[in-house]
Amino acid sequence: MERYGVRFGVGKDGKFEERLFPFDPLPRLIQEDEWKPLERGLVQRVQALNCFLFDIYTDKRIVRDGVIDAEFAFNSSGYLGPCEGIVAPKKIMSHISGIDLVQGRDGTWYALEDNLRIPSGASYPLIARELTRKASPKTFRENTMYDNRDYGERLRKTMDYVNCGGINVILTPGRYNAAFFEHSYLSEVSDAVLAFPNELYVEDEKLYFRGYQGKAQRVGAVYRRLSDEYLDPTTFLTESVIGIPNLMSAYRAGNVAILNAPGNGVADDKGIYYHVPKLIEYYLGEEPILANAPTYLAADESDLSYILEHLSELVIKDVSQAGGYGVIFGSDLSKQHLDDLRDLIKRNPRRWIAQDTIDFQELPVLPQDDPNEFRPERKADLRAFVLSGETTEVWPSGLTRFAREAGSSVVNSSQGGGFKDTWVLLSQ
Amino acid sequence: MGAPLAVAQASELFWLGRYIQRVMMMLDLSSEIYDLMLDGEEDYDVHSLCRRLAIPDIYEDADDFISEYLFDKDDPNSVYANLERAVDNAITLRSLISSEVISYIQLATSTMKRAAKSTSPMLEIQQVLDYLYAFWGAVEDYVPDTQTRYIMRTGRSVEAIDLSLRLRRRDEKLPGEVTRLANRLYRSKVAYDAESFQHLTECFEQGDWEYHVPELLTDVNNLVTL
Repeated sequence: MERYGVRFGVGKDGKFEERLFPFDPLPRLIQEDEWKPLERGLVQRVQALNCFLFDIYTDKRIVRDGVIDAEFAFNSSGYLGPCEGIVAPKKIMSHISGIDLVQGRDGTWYALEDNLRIPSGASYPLIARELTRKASPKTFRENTMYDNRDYGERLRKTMDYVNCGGINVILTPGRYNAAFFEHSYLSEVSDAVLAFPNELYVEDEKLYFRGYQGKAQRVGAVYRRLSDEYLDPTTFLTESVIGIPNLMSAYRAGNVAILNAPGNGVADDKGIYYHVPKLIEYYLGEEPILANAPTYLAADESDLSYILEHLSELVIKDVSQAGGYGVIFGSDLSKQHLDDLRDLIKRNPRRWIAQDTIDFQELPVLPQDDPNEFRPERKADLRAFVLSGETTEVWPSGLTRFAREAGSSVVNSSQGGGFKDTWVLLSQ
Repeated sequence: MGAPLAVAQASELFWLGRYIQRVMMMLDLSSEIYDLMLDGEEDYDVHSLCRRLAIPDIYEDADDFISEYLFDKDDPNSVYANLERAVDNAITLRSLISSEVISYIQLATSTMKRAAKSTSPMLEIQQVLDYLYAFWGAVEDYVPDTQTRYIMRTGRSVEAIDLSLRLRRRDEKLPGEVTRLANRLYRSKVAYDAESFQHLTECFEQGDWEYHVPELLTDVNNLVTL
């Protein structure tokens, strides 16, 4: 991993530093017969979310039909007015979706979060597979699994499908972004050009890549790895110096595809997460295959009283936060802090959801900080990647993240977690 | 559909070539100094060396120079810092030069870290040099685009000429390096300052370059305009 610079950046005390992403070579194993229903559930979920996103910025049928309350949807911090009425190329809004899952001790998979803005992490199991095949050829000779090394090709096809004419680029905010390794690696494996913001410009509502000695090339698809608010200073944050002025006008004119579409935050809002089973029924007319974690919505009066009563047993989440931030375990709080949190929830119920604590499975890991730890296990989740292009497909692998501390449920890399590859084993 | 090279990429390729060459030549020189020290020649004139390299004269003696100039992460002039700059440049160029090529610089960096703690650092230094030679070899195999390769090589030649002029080492190789630079400039298609190039080549053709070192240093550093 060190040889290939598999790192992620963290900001600490005002300084940027890059760390090797802790890797555990023992993979998560998923049997094919377990994977298939999971795969169907993920496809179904992402299709419904894509329908919702397209609908909420155009027809708003779901609101008109009273399935979701208008105020609830439009008060989401992820809802962006400037995206109103934009018809995304091929009507796809979430091209690369990262769905966070956990598996309960009874084997049930639960969707915990839908990441539809810029989910990161695919590059890590991708390069890990490449390296572990070299390190342990016997293991791969004796086990058959889906090959995950086609992610770059899948990404390229997804970009090609929505491309409006021109090259594909991966737009990185810069060298000192936490996920820069991933940006550069994905550009290598997908044959997309890695572009920095100052290398892109808009002219006559078309996006161009600025080349050396004045050569420019039209851009047809941008896999952007910077947040909505920084994308275009003429539309969003005016003080953004990393945005591309007038990018949104090129997008609105249908001259460039933006992956994922700006404004997707409205669907990965944790408040909307609560409604995903309803979205599936409404848009697809199907029963949800994949379970949500049991969730209570503070904005709903009956749920609110349950949350306030059972706060110490629940996991409370700030709907607009991601990356493991804004997650509070009620059991960790003192009486005073529980009272303070109750007050906060009562003051702004739309900001909070609560979930039952899922006792999710632990996976074996090699000894972490203590070399004498006997057969250690750690709690782990799985980020599955669903790519939506001509078809909606689940990459048969995924990023398994595990907590470094025994007993901890915090698996996020930004908070010290490590990762494993995910093997989907083929039935013989 | 191929994309044009970005302005920043051209500059990073050029400087990547320069940084790698700088590290290689300075490691080579450090090995010589280290070897001299084994015979008790601790009074090697590092102060003069600093002046010639145009770096701050902050080293007490040859011993201090070896440990600090080679390995000090916080000294922006150190060999280690130059190697880190090479890594920084290289990883922004991953899609052009490939992870495989970059891996040799990463290996060199990790080995430099080990060398800093070693009781026999020249063994690790030799390994660093091996990795950097492997880097140039990998460029041949993994970088298909001619312009990309030649921009890096142009940087390599510019640095080789610059350091050779400053240190007055390997004088006999300098005319050949200038000829090589001319070929690399042509194939890299980078913009360059014609006047500087003409003066540089004329001095070497006429064989009186030794009398024009300060001007030639200016020429070689003004040559490529990225």
